[in-house]
Amino acid sequence: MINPMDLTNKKVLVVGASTETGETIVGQLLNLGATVVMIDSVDEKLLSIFNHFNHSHLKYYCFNIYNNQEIEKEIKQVSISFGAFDGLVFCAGKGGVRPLQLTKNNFVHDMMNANLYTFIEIVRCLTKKGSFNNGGSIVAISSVSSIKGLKSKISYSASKAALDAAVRGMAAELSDKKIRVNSILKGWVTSDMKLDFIQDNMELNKNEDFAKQILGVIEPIEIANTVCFLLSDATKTITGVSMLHDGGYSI
Amino acid sequence: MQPFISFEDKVILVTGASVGIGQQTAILLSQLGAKIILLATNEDKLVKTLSLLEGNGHNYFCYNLANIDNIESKVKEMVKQCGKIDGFVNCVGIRSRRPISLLSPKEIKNVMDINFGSFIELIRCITKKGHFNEGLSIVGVSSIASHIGGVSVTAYAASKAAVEAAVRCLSKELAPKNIRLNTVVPAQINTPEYANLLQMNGGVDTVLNRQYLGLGEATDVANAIAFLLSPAAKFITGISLPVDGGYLTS
Amino acid sequence: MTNQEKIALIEETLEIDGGTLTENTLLSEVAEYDSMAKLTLIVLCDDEFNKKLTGEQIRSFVTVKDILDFMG
Repeated sequence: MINPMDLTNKKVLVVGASTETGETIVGQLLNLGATVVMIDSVDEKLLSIFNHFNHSHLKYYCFNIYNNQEIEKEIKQVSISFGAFDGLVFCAGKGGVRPLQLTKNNFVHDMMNANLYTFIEIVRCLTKKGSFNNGGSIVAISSVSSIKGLKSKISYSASKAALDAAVRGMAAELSDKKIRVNSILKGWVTSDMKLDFIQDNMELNKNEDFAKQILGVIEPIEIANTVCFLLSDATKTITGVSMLHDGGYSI
Repeated sequence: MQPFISFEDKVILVTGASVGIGQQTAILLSQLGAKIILLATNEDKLVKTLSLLEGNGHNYFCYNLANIDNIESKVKEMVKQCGKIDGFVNCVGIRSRRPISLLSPKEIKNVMDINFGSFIELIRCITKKGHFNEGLSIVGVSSIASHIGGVSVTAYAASKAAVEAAVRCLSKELAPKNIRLNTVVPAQINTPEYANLLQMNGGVDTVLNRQYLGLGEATDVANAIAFLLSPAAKFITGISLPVDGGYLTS
Repeated sequence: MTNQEKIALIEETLEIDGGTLTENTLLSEVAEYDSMAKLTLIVLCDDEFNKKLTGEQIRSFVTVKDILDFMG
């Protein structure tokens, strides 16, 4: 039997691995045969995920991913410790809603830093010679907010739209190295519902949120499958795409 | 005959007003009767632009929008001096061309601050109670770069995509105040900036192969901005209007 | 911050005319107190008073004084 999404012998770096979606992605990558290096900012959380999977192909490395002064040094260390990668999954980042009058520049900056600057800096450092193999694939988790407006999600939407635009730019530029770059525009995932603010945000945008996602709420494993699909050679001519995975939200 | 669009006695702020699309927009809006507030960094160029405007009652402010923290007091000063604002056109923007290998966090932040952060802060301050008149309309200038991936324009494209996404959210959030927001999305336009670009590329511009109406003029964009800004477009909000000679659909 | 200062801050942030609110004002009678205002209040409590206001707590507020008490 063939498996077009086989990831055997592929080494994948997962940034933001300690989120629920991140952990699920790690699990599915391991299931498909990949070697996985998890990165995130909190040591204990990574250790607990590491222990939970207890898998010989799993490793982890901890540093503050949102301190962009440190990323270059840390990614260098990652590359020395683990060798060249074939895949990068960026599922870190921040959410948060805020009405315009309280959307001051420091809030905008924090959001952009977490969702955009960190991503670009990691890609910049990881695609240096010797750290990322030609033919590799990069997948970033974006959101349907990138293309749809909601009240009080100004900064979040903007950061995800910026991320998608950056993905297109990187795809064009890194095509010389046959490195592919794509993103996933996710809709509401079950893990989102546990986050602060969401309840209030739902009240705010009540007529348009859940009802619009006509196939219902997405499970993290479904997002993980889409990530693996875009990492695999099954999609080796797909690049610069922001793929909708939104339960029909944007129809 | 009733004119299709008139801005008689409307106060309109135009940023990035001393050159290219911003300058042309300021001129056009003044011809349509508006009182323009010009904002840019270079005083000589501002004075020059002021001299090109039609009618009286225009003002200019010399200000660098990279200084986001002081925008609030600048807007207050503006409203005090020129009256409540009826329209805001954001033409300020820096182009940044850098391969990813040289795209440092500092460079990205700089581009995002000027092209996106200052826009949000200006909107935040202008939409405060007492700073604007009923029917306020806002137009931002984006770029086809936000829709189509290009080599070495990653930060620029990201900043413009951010602008369009924010406009979609804000159009919804500010609708109860009857404030409209839209963006125009120009492709290649004949501006001094474009002349620079062409020079760098050795006179060759492959984008034009897909831009089947040829090179655009700053007036083409200014016309689209004037329309979106005017009450003629009062049912249009949250959109990104391509002014691209066909590029995005080719 | 005194209660008067807090009221002024709430009025300013929610764009309610100064002097409209008193401690006893019923929130249900304030036209501006909509879902957007509630979200604004959540952020305000976080930014200015370093307190996390939940959706449930905010729904239990009846008068302006309830907000002031929460701000502490």
